This record gives sequence, C-alpha cells and structure tokens, in this order.
Amino acid sequence: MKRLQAVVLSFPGSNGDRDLLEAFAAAGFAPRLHRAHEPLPPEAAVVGLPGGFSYGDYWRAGMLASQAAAVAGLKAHVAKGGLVLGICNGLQILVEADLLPGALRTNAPPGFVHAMAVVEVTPAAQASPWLRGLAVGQRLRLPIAHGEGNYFHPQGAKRAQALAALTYVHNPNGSQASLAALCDPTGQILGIMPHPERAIDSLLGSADGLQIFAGAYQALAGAQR
Amino acid sequence: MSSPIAQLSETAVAQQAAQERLGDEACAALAAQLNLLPQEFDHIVQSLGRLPRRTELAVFAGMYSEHCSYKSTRHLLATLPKTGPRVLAGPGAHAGVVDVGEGYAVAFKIESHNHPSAVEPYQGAATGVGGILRDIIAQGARPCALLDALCFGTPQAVGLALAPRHGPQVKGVVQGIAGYGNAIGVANVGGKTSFDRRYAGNPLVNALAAGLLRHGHGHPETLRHARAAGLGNKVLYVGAATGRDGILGAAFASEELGDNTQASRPHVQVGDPFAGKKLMEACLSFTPELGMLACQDMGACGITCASVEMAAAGSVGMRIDLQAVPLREANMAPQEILLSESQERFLFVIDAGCVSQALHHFHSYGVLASICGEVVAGDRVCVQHGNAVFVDLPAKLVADGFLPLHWPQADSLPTALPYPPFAQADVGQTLLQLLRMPGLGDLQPLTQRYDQSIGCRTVRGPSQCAAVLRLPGLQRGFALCISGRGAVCAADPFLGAQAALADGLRDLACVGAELVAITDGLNMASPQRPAEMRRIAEVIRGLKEGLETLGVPVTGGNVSLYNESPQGPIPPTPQVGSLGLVTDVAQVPTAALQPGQSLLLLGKVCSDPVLSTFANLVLQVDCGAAPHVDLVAEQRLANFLVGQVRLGRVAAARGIGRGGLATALAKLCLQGGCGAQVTLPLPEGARADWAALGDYAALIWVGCAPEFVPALLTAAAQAGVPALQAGTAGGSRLQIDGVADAILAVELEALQTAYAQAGVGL
Repeated sequence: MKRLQAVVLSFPGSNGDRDLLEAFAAAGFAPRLHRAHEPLPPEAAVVGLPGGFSYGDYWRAGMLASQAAAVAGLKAHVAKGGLVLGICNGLQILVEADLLPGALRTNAPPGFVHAMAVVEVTPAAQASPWLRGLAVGQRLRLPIAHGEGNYFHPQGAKRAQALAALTYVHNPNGSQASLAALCDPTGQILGIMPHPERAIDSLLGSADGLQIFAGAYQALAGAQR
Repeated sequence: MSSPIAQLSETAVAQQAAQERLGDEACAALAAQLNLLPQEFDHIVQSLGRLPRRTELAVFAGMYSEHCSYKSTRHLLATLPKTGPRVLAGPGAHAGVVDVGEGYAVAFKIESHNHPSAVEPYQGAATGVGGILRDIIAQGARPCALLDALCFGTPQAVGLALAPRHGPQVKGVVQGIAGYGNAIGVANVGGKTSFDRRYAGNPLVNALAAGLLRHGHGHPETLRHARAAGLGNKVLYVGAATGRDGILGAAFASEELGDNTQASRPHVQVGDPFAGKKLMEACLSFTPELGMLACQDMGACGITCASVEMAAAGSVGMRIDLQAVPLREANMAPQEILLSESQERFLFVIDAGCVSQALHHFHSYGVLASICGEVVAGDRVCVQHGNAVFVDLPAKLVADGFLPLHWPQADSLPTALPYPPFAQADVGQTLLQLLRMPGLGDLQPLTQRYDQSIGCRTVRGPSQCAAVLRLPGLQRGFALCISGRGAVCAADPFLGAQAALADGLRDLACVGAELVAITDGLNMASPQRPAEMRRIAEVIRGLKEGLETLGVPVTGGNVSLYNESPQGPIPPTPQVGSLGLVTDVAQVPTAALQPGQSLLLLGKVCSDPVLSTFANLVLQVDCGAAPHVDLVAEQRLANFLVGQVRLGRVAAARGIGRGGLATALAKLCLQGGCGAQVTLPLPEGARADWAALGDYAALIWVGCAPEFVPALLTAAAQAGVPALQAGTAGGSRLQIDGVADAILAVELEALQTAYAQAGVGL
C-alpha cells in the first residue's frame, strides 16, 4: 500500500511547520512541506496548516495567509474526502478563510501565554475522524502558546459549546465555552488552538497529541482498504 | 535589483564627495567629535600616510569603538583558554561551535543589549534577540534555544510594585524578547532575572542563543565562516533595506548613559521578526551548491563592519558600491548607508558564477538581495557611490588596527564590609520573606510570555536548574544555563567570576550535564576609572584561572562597558552561559520532589557569615564578604552527581544558591507540590539562620528512591564528596530540624502563597 501523503503548508512566517512534519511522520504519514503560494498538490490525503505568525500577523492573525493559493484549494480537497488540520495560527487561517466559523480574539487577560494545558474530549468530537478514537471525557495534556486564542462565535457561547470538540479544563484565554478545538460540519476539518504536534513524546512533557494524528491515519487507512 | 527609494542625486553625491577632504584642524576636530582619542587619530593618519576622509573617520569611529574593537579588554580576554577537543569555532567567529557528538554541533553565544534596552525597552530587547540569532545563523546553525539574563533595579526603582505589579521597563523588555523570539519561532528555555537597586539606571539585557548544525559522521559540513576569498567573487547584500535606524549605535553603546539619553533614541534599531524569519529560512537554505562561500551578519557598524572584517579575514580587497544597497529611506548619505545598523541583514560572498541562482533563491523567499560589490586584489576596502570614492582603506587597519588601551588600574579595591552583629533571624519567617523577593520568587508570570516548547527539543525549560534540549531523534542532548551575580562581584570581582563558573557547573550537574564550554557576557562599568578597570581585570582573571582549573574553554561572548548612569555604576556582572552534554535525556532529574523520595545533601554545611541574600534582607544593607570558591571541590561534586545521574539513581536535584539550603529545598517542594522533613547536623556553635539561609556554594540537594541511598552514600565516600542522608519528601509542610532544636517548620501552603507574591508579573 502506498503511504498516505500529508502536506504541511508553509506560509512566510510559519514556524510550527517542521514540528508538524515530524508529528505526521510519527503517525505513519509520508509528509512533506509545501509552500502555500503554490496550488494544493492533488495527491495529499491530509493537509496541515501549522502554527506561527504568517506574514508576521501584523494585521489580523491569519488574514493574509487565508488568501494563499493552497488555502483556496482546501474546499475541493475536503469535498473529495481529504482531511485538514489547522493548529494555532493554522486555526486562525481556517477561520479567516471561512472554512470554520467564528473568530479568534486577543486573549483575556491579554498577552501571549505558554503553558501545558489540559483539554477534555466532548461528544462533538465523535463526528471527526481526527478525534473519533478518543473517548468522550478523556483528557489530553497539550502545550498552548498563543496571544490570540480567545474563541468567539457571533451566535454566542451556546453555539460555541455545541461546536467545541475539545474544551479547556482551565480556560486560559477567555474562549467562549472554553473551546479549544472545533470541526466543520463534515468533521474532516479540525481547527485546534493547542499544539498536538508538540505532544508526541513523553520525554518532552506529553505524548497525548500523537493520538490525534494516529486517529486521522487510521480513519484514512481504513477507508483506503 | 534597483531600489524604488530615491537615491541621492549625482549632484548631491558629487557635492558630498567634494566635502570629504578636510583640512588638518577640521579633521582632528571631527575625530574628537566622533569620540576618537587623539592617539587614535594620530595612529590613523600615520598608518594611512594622509588625512582620512570625512566618511573614513566615521568608519574608524565605529570600528574603533569599544563595542566593535574591545580595545580596553582585548589584551585581558586574550588570556582566557579558548581551545579544546570539542571546539570547532571559538572567539572571533560569530558564535562558538562545540561538537556534541553523534553528528551534531551546537553554536552558542551570549550578547548584551543593555544601552538600547535602557532607552527603548521593547525594541532594545527585541533587537538583542534578533542580533544574537543572526550570529548563530551566520555559523550555519538553525537556532533552537534562547535564554536571557536580565538585571533590573529593585521593583520600586523601575516602577514595579505589587499593584499594578509591573514596571514599564520590565514589561517592555520581557515583551520585546517574547515578541521577537515567539514570532521567529525559537524556544525560550531559561535564564535568570535579578533585581538590585544598582541596576536601576542601567538595566542589563543579555540574550543567549544556541543552534544546531550537523558535523562529522559523514554529514556534509554545514559550518560557515566569514573569510572573503576568490578574486572576482561577488558580495551579496541580503535582507531588509537599509534605513537611518541605529546609525553609529556601536558608538552609542560605548558611552555611559546620561540624563539626555532619550535623545539617543534614533540610535536604537527596530526589529521585524517576520523579516528575520524569512531571512533565517533563506540564509539557512542558501548552501555552497547555490554559490554560498562566506557569510557575515550585519550587526554593529552594519555594512562597514561586515565588508571590512570579511576582507581582512580573507586577506583580500573588496569593492562596495553603495548605489546597489537597497534603501528604505530617500536621499541617504553614503556615511548613513555605511554605518546604519538596520536589522535583519546579512552580507555574503558568493561564487561569481552563481549570481542569478543566488538572487533567485533569496527572491523566492521574499527577501531582498542585491550584488553590491566584489572581491578584488590587494588588501583595501574601497567604498564608492557611483564613481565617487568615500572610503579607501586597508581592511586590516580598520578591522584590527585599533590601539589596545591599557587604562590604569587601581592598586587595590576596597574590601567588602563585614556584617555588623545581629540577632538570630527567625528562619521560617525569613524564608517566606526571601520567597517574596522578586528575584527569588515565582518568575512564571514572566516566563509564560515565552514560547518554550516550539521546535520540539525542550526536555527542561524555565524554572529548572538548567535547560535541557534533545538532539533530533536521539536520546542525547545538551544543557544550557546562565549564572553570574553582580552582588558577589561587587564584593570581590575575582571570586564573583569564579562563583559564576561554579554556579553554572552545579546547575548543569543538577540536570546530569557535563560542562564542556562557556560563553561569557561581561557587563562592566567605565574602564576609564581605575577602580572599575581593576574590577574588569579581576573578573577576567577569575574566569581565566577558574576555566584553567576546570579545563573548560570559553568559545565566545561579549563585553559591554560603560554601564553607568547618573545613579552610578553597575556592579561588575559577568553572565556566564554554560553548555553541558547530556548522554540520555530520559535520565535528567527534575527540580521537583515526589513524596516518598529520600533527600540527600551533597557538600558541607557551613555557617560563617559570608555575603548572603537573607542577611542583606534582614539588615537592609549591601555588605558581606564574598564566599570562598573551591572549584576543585565543585568539580568533584559536579562530576559525582553527573555520574550518579547516568547510573539512573537521581530523581531530583537542585543546587544551593541565593537563600541557602532552606530556599533551595523550599523550591524543590514548591515544584513538586509536596513537603519535606530533614535534619541537619549543624557545626559546633553554628547559628541556624546562617546554616539554613546563607548563600554557600558547593552544595546540592538530591532526591532519590530510597533503595538508591546506600549506593549513593558509598559512591560519594569513594569520590570524596561529603554526603548526608538528610530526610524524606512528603507531607504538606517543610520541616528542617537541627540535631536538638527545630530550625524551621512552614506549611507548604504558606510557601506557595509567599512564592506567588513575588510581584513579578505582566
């Protein structure tokens, strides 16, 4: 069987791309970097949008990157069954590209914050191939590192709560419903503020993130068989 | 590639060129105005055999400044040991490079950005980070870790109080470091922050960066150098366009801070981490196959320093055309272009046959690149703007031709005052007071502003004894820490420098790392005052003798002089960055106790009244004699601990530092969330407050599984290391007993409350 291809989009200013590459590889994917100004390659089974400060994020985070050629191809990629993972700045880009609802505001209290966060799996997670392998109520330890991770849904906290696939046990940034991750209606697009790609080895603090990448691999490998 | 910004018109260039030649008197007057010493001016005129041009004088002023030349300290720095079997690049390179085994080398260096941070905290600190990262990149290494050593005035002096809990200076510096480091994506893994009223007028901002490169084991060599070579090869300007920021910043950094320092703000550069990130990726992927021959970061004195040093290092000439330099501002004068310290720029020498592919490479990363000169025969650097010549000087005269300055040294230094007699302090209450001090209390409110885990290398981050980073895909790793206490150096600069080495050695041992090299950031006052010059010499002598005892080289660093303000000079403050080897990151002890662990104290309990944080706190004075440093004993202790870690016997460890045995134990408890009960046999007639709280060296707490205790004690006896089975971890209180009496008993909750009250927050 040909190994499943994972493509990590690299925007100018992305800085989590190499970590994401390693995480995909650890889960069994054949990953490679792809510069986001070029159209999305058709062979990708999974597309990852890494963390970082795309275009410096001097404007609204993710706004400029959401206009990249590769991002324009994500809708078609999802339509043919492909998966998408946006982490941190990647989530901000997906939101700016209207692939996920809502917005990410400045943290409350304001300021960049780095910590090992604990998140909990919600029933909504079962709709997503990324998270289906996790038990509802299961807790994951994942690093957070962001200044604009305060999730806001225009229809209010109730809607955010329904969307949340992972929630913070201790809300670090003021997000509505303590939302830490959400999916699109198909479940194929996962946007997550914490960094599962930095939690693939217990020597570095946690290996919990690997389950998310492994979940996607199993879902796709199963579908391929 | 042409710049869209208006160049100076040909007529204006011709006019400026016509004014380049000065008469005898005007020339000497301009030299003085640029802070060139009379003997330096004479030396220049004699060496050239003519009067320098106006722009040439400015070039000399920058390159002969203390910041670029180290003219007051170079003869002293020359005495430091610099070589070792693992050293691949030492002082003189952009950063030291040390072989760490299994096909990897670490490039690392510490640098100060004190003056800019005093004037403009955010940008000063941010560009300090950007600058040190470019030094690492220039060696061909991918940056993977940042540490910072910050010294501020006491909270009151910088406007930091419990409410609103932050001063603009601390806030600006921390946000500047975070703003640049987080965005460029390099993990901030440690360092130290201290508070002392003597830094109020002149804070210290030192940043240490480390990067990884491949070396040996059949990997293509990625180590880079800065030697221009090959007649006809091209000089490639890469990175941000040149603006008027930071012009002659090097000269500014070589003066004392005055009351009108705000007027110096135009000397401070402005950082752009996005530009820095693009530049980093473009430069690291610009390989010899694409034409890369030599590389230098444009830091102090910008394009002047880069071109002159590359030409001098390669013993070749260089021609630079300023018309080809991308500009950000209109009508910049040749002198401004030459001496601008705009950030995020590199100068490369590239193969003449690779020009188009090199330009294409950088343009594809969205980075400006422009051929701005070439390597020529001879030994002179010639700078032109079109046909008008502004600089025509022997490269070596500019790069290394300065006169070393041997400022007179005071014959002796005042000895530190001993402590007056004082009643024994309540150990428990004083411990809580110590934990409330901003320099000893919880720094997590500051360090949480830094991304500590990006890059997936961080095994141990801030709040540990030392940072530990793992090599890609390997169990092997390396450790980094920064040590150095101005208060001890103020009492005795020689001992203070040795104490910094001992602290680094000990902190590395606590994470199971063996010290292999250091980088030194020396922050000093004005060498023109004999007492301060003596202190500078004593610090360097302390490092020299200490490094020789340890058999460890210094591979690079930085000297920052003139750290003075109207409030007075800073205490001499060497910031020693120590690099250690870790053979297996899975064995690294934590700085946290777990219930049930046995506690051992390695080293000898002391109680003589030496300079100690608690005594200064109790008496509200700055006095006390510096503690004796025995580096042989320290090394024996460190080697023993590292050996035991590698045998898998050590679960937790913490070296004793400020606040003594009790404070170190309290921190182990705080991190582990559990108490501890220990018994200390005090020496005959010893005071409990000194024994528990005095700042003694050569002492380490170790936590281990009870079954390892006998083996540890036997091995310690064999190694000649004093070791005491002191007690156990567990419960919810910290209790230290003497043989007969209780020394202290404090609830963990009280420790936690005090620790969180340190009042350092943003």
